[in-house]
Amino acid sequence: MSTTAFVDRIDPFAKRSLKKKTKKSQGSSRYRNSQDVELQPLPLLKDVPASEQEDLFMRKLRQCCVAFDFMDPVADLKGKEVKRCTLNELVDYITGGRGVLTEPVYPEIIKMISANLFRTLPPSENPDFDPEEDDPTLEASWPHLQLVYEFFLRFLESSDFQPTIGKRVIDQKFVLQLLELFDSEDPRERDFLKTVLHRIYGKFLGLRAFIRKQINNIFLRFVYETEHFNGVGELLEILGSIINGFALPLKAEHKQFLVKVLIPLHKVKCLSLYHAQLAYCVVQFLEKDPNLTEPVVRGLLKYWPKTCSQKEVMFLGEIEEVLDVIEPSQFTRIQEPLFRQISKCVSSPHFQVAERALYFWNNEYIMSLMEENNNVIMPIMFPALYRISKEHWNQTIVALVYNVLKTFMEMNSKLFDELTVSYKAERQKEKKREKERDELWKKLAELEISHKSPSALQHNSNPSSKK
Amino acid sequence: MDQASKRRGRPLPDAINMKPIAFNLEEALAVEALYRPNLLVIQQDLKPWEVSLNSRDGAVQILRFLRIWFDVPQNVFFTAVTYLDLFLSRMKVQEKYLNCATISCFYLGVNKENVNIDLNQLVTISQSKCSVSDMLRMAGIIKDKLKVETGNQRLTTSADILMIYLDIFDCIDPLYREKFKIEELLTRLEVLLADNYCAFFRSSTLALCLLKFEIEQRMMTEAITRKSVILFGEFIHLLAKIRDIQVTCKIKTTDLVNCCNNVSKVLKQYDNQDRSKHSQNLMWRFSSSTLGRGKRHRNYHRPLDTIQEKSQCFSKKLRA
Repeated sequence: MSTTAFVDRIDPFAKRSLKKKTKKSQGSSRYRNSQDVELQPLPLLKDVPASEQEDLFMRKLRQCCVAFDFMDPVADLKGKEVKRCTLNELVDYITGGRGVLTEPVYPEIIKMISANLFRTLPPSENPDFDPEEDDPTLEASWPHLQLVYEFFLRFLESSDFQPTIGKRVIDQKFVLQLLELFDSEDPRERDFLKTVLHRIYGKFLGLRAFIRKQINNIFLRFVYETEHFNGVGELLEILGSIINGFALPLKAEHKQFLVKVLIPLHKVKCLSLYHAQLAYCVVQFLEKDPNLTEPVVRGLLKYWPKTCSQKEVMFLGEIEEVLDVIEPSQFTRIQEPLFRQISKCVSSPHFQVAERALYFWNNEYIMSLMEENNNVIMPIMFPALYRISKEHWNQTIVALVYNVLKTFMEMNSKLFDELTVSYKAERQKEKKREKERDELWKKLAELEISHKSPSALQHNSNPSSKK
Repeated sequence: MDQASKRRGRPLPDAINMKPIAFNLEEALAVEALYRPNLLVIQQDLKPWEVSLNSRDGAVQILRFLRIWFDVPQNVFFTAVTYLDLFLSRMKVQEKYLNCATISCFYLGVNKENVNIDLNQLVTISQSKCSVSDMLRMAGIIKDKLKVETGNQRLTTSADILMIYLDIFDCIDPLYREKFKIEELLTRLEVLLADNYCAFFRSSTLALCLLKFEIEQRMMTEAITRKSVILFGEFIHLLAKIRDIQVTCKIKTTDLVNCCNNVSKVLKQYDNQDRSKHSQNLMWRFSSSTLGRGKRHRNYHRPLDTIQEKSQCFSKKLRA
């Protein structure tokens, strides 16, 4: 890479972020062979006798296995329309009908779904795609894909659906291919996939362990290898509903998942894309088993952002959610390391970080916990608060610090007075040390000057002295 | 002969050095009544919208906090409280003006002690809902109503009298003074003044009761712990000195006893680290971005239906 290209890549003000992006559709990497037979419209299902409906249903399903090229908006317009109408008809047929899901149609349905959905996702048009800033590239064949997803969902949710038959065709291989589609850039597709996978997980007990394992693999690869996967948020939403239904006591596997997968997910750069869902999962775990509070909080403190203020604000939000559900006995186990971090946040020169940390004092439950444990928390918070009351540039922060200190004084006047005295004594000692250090440097400077006195200089410059 | 044994011979106080101290005490006692009003006057014919003793205590707590916030000498607080109590006892002040009066008294205290603070910050940070000009006008009204100042005459406060008592102890034996940390004593005096049950008493009585309490708490406890006859002797000697001061200051025994009971009660609550009786109604202002994030997190989306671990079912709602 040339120097210019490298600089452009790291330059936060690079033109790429200012360039107006026009939405572009993009087709899949599969194109229809022009020699394929044109789709012939078949009779409507409602127009044939019941005895022929199953056969006609399967013929329509096979017809819908044909893919079309949407990159060319004018190609195969008739065929595209025939398929679209057929798909619509199939959606209505499966929704309204009773007894339509016979055993022979299951494999045909899955074949049709596989033919339409499973494709290699093309690489992103924009290699520097920033999910937080850039618009996503949408799927060109969405007019058909949407109907296929609709159909799939109605199929799974149908009262006629029998998991015992379905499990023969919805197997691990199918699920694996479904999971790969979560990396689609099109959010509409991911939304459907989320609901589909949620239903599959609900209905197929035999696939649950496999799905969980594969999701783990996706997350671990995302965290430790690629830091790229578009569907993390959707997968976390599904996991939220799974975690919510965990039986007690929690299995070791689930606790392992929390510590080894969910917590490390906090360290990724693009956390903002899925943080809300991730925090929800974490809090659900804590509601299930409060004993997990300590590993969760210590894990968050371990991955606490050092340079990204936006992430720091998110972490503070998550900590507040954790504290909202914490038990008092668990609070005492994590209060010291937690409030040491909060005292750093309160001192942050980034006013949003400082303000978000001070927002904890607006939470009644957290305040009650602080009051119960004020003898531990006040000594940790006081030095930082007192210092920034004098030094912070932002007056809103200073005003909030006033409120916090006043609240502390009302909580425990004696401790507050003791801390004031000890803080001042420490400051005096520090000033004395600084003064002594300055004086020492001055003395050293004077010594240096005296060594470089004129007589000494003259002696050094004499050529005979250099022998 | 060791120091403790020597002290048992009851050495005479240094008469030469005691003279100026006695003079200071006499001067302070002469103006004591002028600077420590009868606070019970505040409660007489009290109307619902007027400042009560309870509100007065809350205001003094604010003065205490402002003293720490601005890191000014403790004398600023004692001066400010004196101004406030005098003003409240001479004027019927409406509750809505109390915040302004409080910071005005603080301003007067700061001025008296020749300390510089940012007046804009004083007005905004204290959430007094008044402007700098309002505060200055109120300060002018307070000075005018009290007519206390004549030139550079300093207000005589409870702290001043306490320091005189410590000078007396110092005269008897410098070791006695070393037992008391001045800053800590003054802080405890602040705590007492913030409670009208203690602030009601004469400054000389209050300061004496504080010393008596401290002597009993520390020296008696130490004497019992170490089972030292010598320490007991010192303790009794100091109590005798307290008695002498009581007589000199003409403090009635009933007043002393009542005051000591109240001081004991207030300081025990303080030492027990109990919550303050007064809680200021503070305004918490956050930016819209912080408020927005706080709410958004809790309602980010409608979650998918729960999938029970051990069963196949969930509610048959269509997709979220």
